[in-house]
Formats: sequence, structure tokens, C-alpha cells
Amino acid sequence: MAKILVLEDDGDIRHIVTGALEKAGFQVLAADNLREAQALFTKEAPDLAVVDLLLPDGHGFDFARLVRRFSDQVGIVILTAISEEADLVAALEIGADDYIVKPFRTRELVARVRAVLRRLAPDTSPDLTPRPGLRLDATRHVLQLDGAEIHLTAMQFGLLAALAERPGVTFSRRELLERVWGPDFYGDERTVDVHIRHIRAKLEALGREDLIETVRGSGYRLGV
Amino acid sequence: MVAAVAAFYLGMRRENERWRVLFFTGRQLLGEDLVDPEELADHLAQAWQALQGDREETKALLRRLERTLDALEEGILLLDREGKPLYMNRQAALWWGELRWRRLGAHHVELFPYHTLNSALSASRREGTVKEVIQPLREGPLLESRFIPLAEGGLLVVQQDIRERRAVERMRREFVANASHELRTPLMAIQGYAEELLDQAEEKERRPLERILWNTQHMARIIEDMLLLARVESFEQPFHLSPLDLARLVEEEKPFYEDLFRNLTLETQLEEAFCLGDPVQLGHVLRNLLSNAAHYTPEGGRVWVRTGIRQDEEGKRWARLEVEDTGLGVPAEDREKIFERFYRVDRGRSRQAGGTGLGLAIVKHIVGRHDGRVWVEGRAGEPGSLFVVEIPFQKGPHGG
Repeated sequence: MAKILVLEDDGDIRHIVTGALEKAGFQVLAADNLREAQALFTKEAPDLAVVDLLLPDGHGFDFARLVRRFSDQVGIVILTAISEEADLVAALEIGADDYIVKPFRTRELVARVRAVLRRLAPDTSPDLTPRPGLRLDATRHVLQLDGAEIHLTAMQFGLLAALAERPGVTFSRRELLERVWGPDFYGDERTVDVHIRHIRAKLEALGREDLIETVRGSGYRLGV
Repeated sequence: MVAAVAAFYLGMRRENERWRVLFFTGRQLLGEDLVDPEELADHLAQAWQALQGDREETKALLRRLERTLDALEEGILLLDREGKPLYMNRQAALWWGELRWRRLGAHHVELFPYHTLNSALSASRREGTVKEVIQPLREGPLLESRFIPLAEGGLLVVQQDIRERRAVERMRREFVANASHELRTPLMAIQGYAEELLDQAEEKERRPLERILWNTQHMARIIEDMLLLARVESFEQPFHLSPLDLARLVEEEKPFYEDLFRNLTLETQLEEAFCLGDPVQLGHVLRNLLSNAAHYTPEGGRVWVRTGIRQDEEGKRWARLEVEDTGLGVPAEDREKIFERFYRVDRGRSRQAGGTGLGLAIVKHIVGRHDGRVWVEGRAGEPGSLFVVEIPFQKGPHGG
């Protein structure tokens, strides 16, 4: 049973999120401020944190950064009332695995939490080498490209691995959502775009943002 | 010549005795038989008087004009074809400070950021008036400048300090952002509790709870659109313009609108139509127009999406996007108003359809920021409407 830390200062939303996750079978710890969350995090070592952004004693990003300093293996899902794409990409930038915009349906939250946990589970699948010079290291969620290494979050790795299974084949956004977030996921297909944009930003540092191609009218594919 | 006429005139007026002398000189000069010197003198006197009157009038007119220009809050500059300033009104002189006296006629680089002026000069030569915002001094006035080409080759520059406007815009945008944040949180609570109840509800309790959920989601959409509108209205939000083909946009956005057309026939007729556009923003335009068409067209109806190039009466070329439907149509008297926020032709129906009342206002603003235009027409003799978006044509990467 996975352990989940909920950091949310609004009592009603904390109650709703906690209730939905407990009902889904998770063990839930709740905190309404940063300090308490940090204490719980060190003491209880949760598998995943659901983090609100505006908190009485700081910003949810601070907590996410702290978690990332400790481990890449703890999932982070951001709860936000801000829907601007730039902010969403910023959330992924600091290492969050996924985000969800308020108001959301609780089952969508549960689906996203499950998807992230599934992606974080020890991956025993063999490394993918879709083409020479390109390798996807499943145990470390690392992309190796012509000798350089890029660390990816669980969802990013999942997306890239899905594309890399069949290089040159186009996947629609919906197919990618299903493969990476799971069949019970429903929600905005733009989620895929936000994550792809973030992966491309990382690839850009190597001048290789063309690795993932946008296919007009259909979706994405791995360039061959 | 003027001096000679003036001397002649003064001679006539001041010294009566000299009249004869001058006439005599005139006669000598012109030859007795050619012109009657007295007549000539009369003509000259009249002409001079008229000229003098005109000059006074012209001077007075110039003074009035200068006073008017100096009273404006806008800065006005005249630049010659090399970009050297020929004239500035008071406000422009204030903004450009001592430059007026020290460097009038100085090289343009010293007055305007070089690339700004250069691109404005060449762009206005190509396509007429160009608008740019420049800030000559850090912390100084933020000048929205219109560069208007003159027939003789120079430029008229009209500038406006928009710092105050920007500050108001920023406040409004922050207000909307904060308000939407504050609204989303309680909305989340309502929705969450309704879902909780729905999970344990008996059959007869389900409908009210489902309606609560539907309405919270509707309100979330309104908040989303309010935010989007505030964003596209704010000039702080940069648009990322690049050459973009509307036909391609329609294809790329397909996954985001095809679901709307499950009970309708959607037909696309796409021809290349390049413009300078922001793909994300124009995506909003397309989705809003399509969702509008889908919501107001009864089941079994048809919707057409067309793109292409059109040349208007003045020879200007436009990249054009059309969305036509066989729906209810928009009464002629409402056709302009529907682009205003929260204007509804039929309030009850549009809420039922799930519209936020902001979609077309968003469309209008985004199109406006592309220097384009949008309007709606009826369909000749048939129910339905035709929405047209036109954005200035731009050569595509292949010159098409």
C-alpha cells in the first residue's frame, strides 16, 4: 500500500483529496503547511506527495525542490489553481511528475497518482536502444544521447519510452495518455503537450529538440 | 524677385512723389506700347496685397497648427527619408529632451534605437503604417510609436506614453488572476463534496448532484475564459508570431475539436494561407469558432472549415479562415454585439449549450492583436452563419 503525503492548506480540499485517496486504498498523511510537511516527509518517507502551491509559509515549489534533493524516486503531483501553461511547465521544470488544475474531479486525481506510482515502480524492463547513439535507461530514467545524459521524471521517461518502442511511428495524444497515464485516465489531452514541451526544453540543451517530432493533425513520433 | 516687388510696393506707399518716377522707370523698362504701366502697377499692387494677406494668414494658420500640435499629449515627429528629424512638437521635444536643440538633424541612430527605426522604415515602405513600442531611456517613457510613411519619402511618427495604460492593464490582469485563483478553490470544494455525496447517493438524489457538478464545471470554464481574455488583452503577454499556415493549424488542432462533431458533418476545404501568427493563440480562435458552430448547429447539421488567400478591393492580401454552419444563424442586429463579452443572443439557450459568453470576445481580441479582423455573415437564403477571420497575408517559408 503506497504512502501519500497531502500538502494543502485549504481544509475542505485537504479533506476531499485525503478522502478520495484513502478510498482508493492509499495510506494518507496530511499537512497544511510547509514545515509540517517537511517533518512528515523525513519521518514517514512517503512514496508520493500531492502538493498545493500557495501555502501559508511558502510555495509548493520549495517543497518539491526539497523532495527532489533527497530522491528522484518520490512522486510529486502538483495541485494548482493556476492554469497558465508557462506555470505548468515551470512545475515540471522543478521536478514534479505531474500536475492537476483545480477544480478537478477526484477520480482524475486518483488516476494521475496511480499513473505516477506505476511509473516509479522499479522498472525491470530492458533498456531501449531505438537507434544507435540513443539509449533509454529504464532503471534510472535516464536518456543517453550521443554520450550525453538527460535525467527525466517518471512521466517524461514513460512518454519517451512509449515513443521509442516504435521509432518513426506516430502516436496520437490519446494513445500516449493511455499508455503512460493508464486507461482510466481522462482529462485534457494537452497534458501530453505540456510534458512534451518540457522534454524538448531538456533536449534543447543538446540541440536535439528534433528528437520528438510533431506530426500534423495526429500526434508525436520519435524521429528516425 | 520678392525683394524687387517689395521695394516697388514700399516706394509706392511711402513716397507719393516717387510714383511718377517709378512709373517712368517702368515705362522705360517695358517699352511704351507693350503694357500700360499704370495697369501693371495696379496688378502688382493687388498681387502684393493678396500675397501679404496670404502670408499673414498662412503664418497665423501655422501658429495655430503649431499650438494645436504642442497641446497634444502625443509626441509628433517628422523624419526625412534617412530618418533625420525635421520637426518635433512640444511633447516629442520633452521626451527626446535636449536632443531637439543639440541634435536636430543628428543622425537617426542617436534618436531611435537603430534596429527599430530601420525595421520601421523598411516595413512601412512595404506595408504602410507600422506600430512599435520603444523605450529610449531605461525607466523613461514607454512610447507606443506609429510610423506612417509620407508620399515624399519621409516618415511621420506619432508617439504615446503608455506607461499608465500598462500599469492599469497589469493591475487588471493581476486582479483577474487572483480572483480566478480565489474562485477556483471554493469551487473545488463544492465539486469535491458533491462528488463525495454522489458516490453514496440513491437514485433520486443523483440528478441534483449531477447538476451541481455540471454547473461547477461550467463555472470553471467561465473562469478559464476570463483568465484567457485577460491574458490576450494584456500587452504584457507577448504573442509569439512566426510564419504560420492556417490550413496546417486546422489540421494540427484536429484532436482538440473533432469530438465536438460526433453528431454533425464537418467538412474541411484547406488551401495554404500563410500569415504571421501565434499558433497557440490562433488555436484558441479556431477552437472557439468551431465549438460555437458545433453548439449552435442542431444534430445532423453541417459545418465547413475553409482556409485560403483573399485579395480585397484595395489589393491587400489576407490569410482567411472561414467557419460556416447550418445552425440557427445570428440576427443581423446582433452581428456586431456578439463579439462583446457576455453578450447572448438567447441567454437560456447559450447557457444550455455550455458557452461561457466569452469565446467570441477572446476571438476578437486575438485576431485584433494579429492586425486582423473578424466578422459574421448570414448565409444567403439559408439558415446558419459564416464566421470570417482575416489576418494580413505573409509569404510562407517557400515563398508561397
